[in-house]
Amino acid sequence: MNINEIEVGYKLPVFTSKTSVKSIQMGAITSRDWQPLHRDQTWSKEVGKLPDIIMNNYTYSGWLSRYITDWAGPSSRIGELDFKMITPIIPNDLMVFQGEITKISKCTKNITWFFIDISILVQDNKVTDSSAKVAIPHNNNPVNSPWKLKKEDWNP
Amino acid sequence: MNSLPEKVQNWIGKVVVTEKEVITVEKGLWQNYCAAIEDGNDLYWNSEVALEYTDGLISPPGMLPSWSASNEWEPNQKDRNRPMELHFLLKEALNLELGIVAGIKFKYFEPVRSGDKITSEQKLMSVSELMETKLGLGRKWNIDVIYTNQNKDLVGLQSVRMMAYTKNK
Repeated sequence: MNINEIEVGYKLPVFTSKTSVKSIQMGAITSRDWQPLHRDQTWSKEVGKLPDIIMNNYTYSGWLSRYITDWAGPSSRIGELDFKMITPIIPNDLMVFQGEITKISKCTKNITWFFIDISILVQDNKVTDSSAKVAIPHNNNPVNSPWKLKKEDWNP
Repeated sequence: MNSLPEKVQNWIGKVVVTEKEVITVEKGLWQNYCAAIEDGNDLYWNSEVALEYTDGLISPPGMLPSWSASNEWEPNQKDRNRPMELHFLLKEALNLELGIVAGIKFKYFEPVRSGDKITSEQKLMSVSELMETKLGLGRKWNIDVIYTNQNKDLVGLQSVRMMAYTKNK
């Protein structure tokens, strides 16, 4: 990817992944969220009045971050991530991630900020609305890595 | 009753819950999380690549709040806070039995690395009037969380938009 060729309106590659009972439980447990609505199907339906166990918010942030860095590469650095959960994501949902660049601005001489709107769709319905701000270096030279910026120069 | 109890009014604008260094950040824990979301980012897995770009492996940013969550069980454990304890304190104070997260905003600062110990401060920003929601009668509230490491460096800010309700009978 040549980031110098990316303009506002650029669409990130679509990414899909199907959830399962195991993947939603794994996301919750490994993010240290012990609440029953993320791991106990009986509790979720009978007490929580939910359709099934639902994905916890730290798993959402993981998937959204992964979508960004899968595209931008490991040298990219996420500064900001905002998301709104419209409808819960449950087991056997096929998540479809779509992203679009909405703004581009300079971070340093060798690093650019990209602002991305991201949606997660399930069966053509938008279930999550998100926006992110990610710093991407102009090349793969580690010297230009945004992770090497001094604390005072990192202003997400 | 629509008005807020005095206790809750007094919490607004203040840090109500502090979680101080409840666990130590470690690679094995974050790699389990990466496995759950199938995230193969080299910065979380590959020491050589991470050393080039970030001076060593880092924890995925999505896991930041997890480093303030106590173990589900520990020997000789007495009182253990729940994840986002302030949310539960509000539910109890306002007699709202169920709660959900509507949205979250993160800002990420210093990366989190193996061996770090994270402290978080949960600050109540606002509480709405009672309202009819799709799920039942309830309230919305906003909680800000400030995360710092053992060196007092800011590692992240989180704003959580939550809702709690009494289910419709």
